[in-house]
Amino acid sequence: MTAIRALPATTSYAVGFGVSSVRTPPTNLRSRRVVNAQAEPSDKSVEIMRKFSEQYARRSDTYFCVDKSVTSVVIKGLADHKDSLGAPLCPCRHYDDKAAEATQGFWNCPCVPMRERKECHCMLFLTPDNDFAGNEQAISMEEIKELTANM
Amino acid sequence: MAMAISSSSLLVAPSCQFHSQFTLRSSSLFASPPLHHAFSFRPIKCKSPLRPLAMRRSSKATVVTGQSWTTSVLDSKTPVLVEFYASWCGPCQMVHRVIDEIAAEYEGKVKCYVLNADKDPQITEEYDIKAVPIVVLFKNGEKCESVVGTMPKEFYVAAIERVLSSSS
Repeated sequence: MTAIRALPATTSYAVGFGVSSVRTPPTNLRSRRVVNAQAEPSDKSVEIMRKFSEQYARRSDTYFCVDKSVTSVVIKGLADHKDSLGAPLCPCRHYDDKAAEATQGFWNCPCVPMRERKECHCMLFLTPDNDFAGNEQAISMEEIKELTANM
Repeated sequence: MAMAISSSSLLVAPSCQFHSQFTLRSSSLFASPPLHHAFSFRPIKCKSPLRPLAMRRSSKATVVTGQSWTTSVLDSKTPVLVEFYASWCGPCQMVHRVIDEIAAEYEGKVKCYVLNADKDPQITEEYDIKAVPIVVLFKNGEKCESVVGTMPKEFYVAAIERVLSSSS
């Protein structure tokens, strides 16, 4: 554990990524516990959002994050909002009133900043010049499950 | 051991070796008191090789809530870093890893916390937080720096250093 924790202590994210994908599940347990303690979205919604993400990435010439656990978590977050609000509200924001926000639509994925300027601070859709961009526009259900298994 | 006579600071490294050899040869009962004794004499130098180990094992960013906000953040004598996150925010998890590293590296100098914006909306709204992840730095209970989004570690470190070196 100490060795693995020591490795990402780098000066840039680029190295951290490589390491994170190699991490064994137990290492993540403690840090992830903090982030997540919520119910799982339905498989149906996850599949809808997965498909949407692949299609929109291709359509907008954007790519998934080099760390696809980021992609996976965001897809699940969108699915969760789709389940609870009926719309895929951006999971990387705080809202005073989620239901009102979902109705209003500005932050429903793909949000207005994404459609207008290809800005996705959730890092689901990244332009190729972004340091975090990988070179994939596809993600499987298996990947999503695997990469969010420790949450 | 000739060095021991010349300078007390030079004694540090050789005496460490000496004690470890000594421990191996003698029974553990007798070995521990002199070793302990040697440590209390020792200036910082011999302590430092042990520190990285301790640092890696211990500190990580801990959870702060609305209930513990005043005591943990506002009343803190040392500067405080708070990462606001949301449950299904992918990039927040990346920032988390960096903040955990920073928590270990700045142990004793900066207290590091994470706050779930969904679970503590009152704090989140009080500081007008919209986008997550966002890392906010506090000194003497006042918000003094914030870093929005997912940034390289240097950004957070630079912000911390500014806060640590500022007089107020």
